[in-house]
Amino acid sequence: MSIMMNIADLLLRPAAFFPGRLEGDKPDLKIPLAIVLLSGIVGAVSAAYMSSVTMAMLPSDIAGLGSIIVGIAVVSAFIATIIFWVIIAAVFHGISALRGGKGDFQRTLAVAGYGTLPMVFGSIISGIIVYFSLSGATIRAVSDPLQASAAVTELMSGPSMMIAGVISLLFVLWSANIWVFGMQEARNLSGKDALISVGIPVLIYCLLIFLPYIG
Amino acid sequence: MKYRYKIPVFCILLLLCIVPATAADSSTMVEGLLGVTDVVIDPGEFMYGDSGTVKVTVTNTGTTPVAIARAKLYSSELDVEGDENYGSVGSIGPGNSLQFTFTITADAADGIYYPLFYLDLRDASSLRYRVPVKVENSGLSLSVTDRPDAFTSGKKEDVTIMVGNPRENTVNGVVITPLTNGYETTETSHFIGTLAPDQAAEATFSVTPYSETPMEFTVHYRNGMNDHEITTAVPVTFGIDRKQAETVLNNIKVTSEGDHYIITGDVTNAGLEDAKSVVVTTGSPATPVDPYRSYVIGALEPDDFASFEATFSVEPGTEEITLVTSYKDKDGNRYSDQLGIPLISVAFPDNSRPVASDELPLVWIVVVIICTAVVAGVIYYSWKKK
Repeated sequence: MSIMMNIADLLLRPAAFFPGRLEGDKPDLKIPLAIVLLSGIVGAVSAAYMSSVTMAMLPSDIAGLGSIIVGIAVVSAFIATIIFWVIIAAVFHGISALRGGKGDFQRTLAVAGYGTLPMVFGSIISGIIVYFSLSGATIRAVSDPLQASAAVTELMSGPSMMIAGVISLLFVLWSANIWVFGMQEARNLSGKDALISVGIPVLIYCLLIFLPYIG
Repeated sequence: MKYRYKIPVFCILLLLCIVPATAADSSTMVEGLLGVTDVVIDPGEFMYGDSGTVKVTVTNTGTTPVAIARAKLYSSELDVEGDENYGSVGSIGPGNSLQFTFTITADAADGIYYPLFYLDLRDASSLRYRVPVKVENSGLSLSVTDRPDAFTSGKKEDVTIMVGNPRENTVNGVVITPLTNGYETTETSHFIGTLAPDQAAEATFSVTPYSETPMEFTVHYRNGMNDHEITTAVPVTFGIDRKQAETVLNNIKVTSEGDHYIITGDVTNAGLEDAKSVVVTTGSPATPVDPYRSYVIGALEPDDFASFEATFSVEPGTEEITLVTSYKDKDGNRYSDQLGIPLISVAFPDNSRPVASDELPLVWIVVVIICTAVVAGVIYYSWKKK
């Protein structure tokens, strides 16, 4: 019950959640790490499905390497989630330092980890959308690598994939909201500075996600 | 004196006895010096109803002319014409010959007949000579010496006809003519010409049948000046030529690429004859597309094989296409084989629903709206509760 309450506070009342959980310079990272690992698992599952779909486009002689490539994609997605956690925390920490933020990096790392939880939900919903979209569509094999690349681009630029991107963006905003409250607590920032510290990298991240659709 | 008168009288009487005897010996000698020296019968052997000529040459081997009243050819079995031309012949000088030509018509059964040549001389003597005329009604022999095991409608095949002459005389103007009843031939006729006794000649016709009607070939020939013909028929039954080329497709693979399919495989000639101009393409419901609408392999010898590659597109939901292999034989006749190829094992390029569907399901839009509302509500709530 307590865990559920804590999760509800994290998601709905982050201003009330963080005080008391970032005590000292070295806060406990087990829960943030668990959240990030959970995000990594979800990301790995999505990567496994997407890579299997991509393999279906490749010629049969290359498709024999499918299991290896899927394995690489799963491991890469999992590791990338952890690296993303560290990087986004570092970016938050750096920008907040420019805004006069005080506090250990581990505190920022904990905030970044906690804030990843809405993105887990977003990844699940996006994955469901992608799954149903591609299961109802046709996957055709392509022998030419250039055509394979074009097919992947086509795959990623479809309306359903754009919907999945919008869903992800919405939950990134939810995460950003948590990060803002968390950075205020972790780096002793004002609301404006925390918003700037979180908003800039989130804005860049959103642009990176949607540039392919805009372009 | 008495013996003086008896001696002349005796001489006169002796002379009178000698003169008639001398006159009688002179008639026999003339007849004996006139003889038949040559007989030419054309044709050498008559067929029933044939007309021909009998030429009798008479030569005077004596030293005095011989007067001839008339010449006739008598026959109770054969019709003889032309003897009225010799009602008053005249005389034949010493060392000279006269030829008497009679026309006869062989309206008689097979056999040897002996018309009588009769030469009536003015001195009340005559010359008789039997002329043997042979009547044999058997015609030329006609046979088919080569033909395909089975005919195929529209396929050109060779048929060889042999004409033999079992008669004792030479026939002329031998021509084999196809009647083209239900078939076509490259040759309109084949001229053989003279055919000596017990000789044979062959003629090969390139025939293209279109129906199972027996092919008829007629041989026209002349026996002397008489036209004759004989016809033979070659039965036509359509079937499969056991030697013809046979294309076999295997190692077939179908892969999709872009908005079309690529079908590859091997085609082998499992027949006994060359398959020429072999072309592989796709048939309905597939639509051939570039770059390989049709794949031209060329000639395939027996037991030889070649690879092919063809490209095509199909409507969504197509489960099977037709692979068409066509080839020609040495005469240019085109044959075609079709093979159904299932597409079940191949990913379908569903043009109406490409990889990433162009459709935007309403449910996703609803999900976005709900998520937007939730996130906005959560953010609003979190700031309100701050």
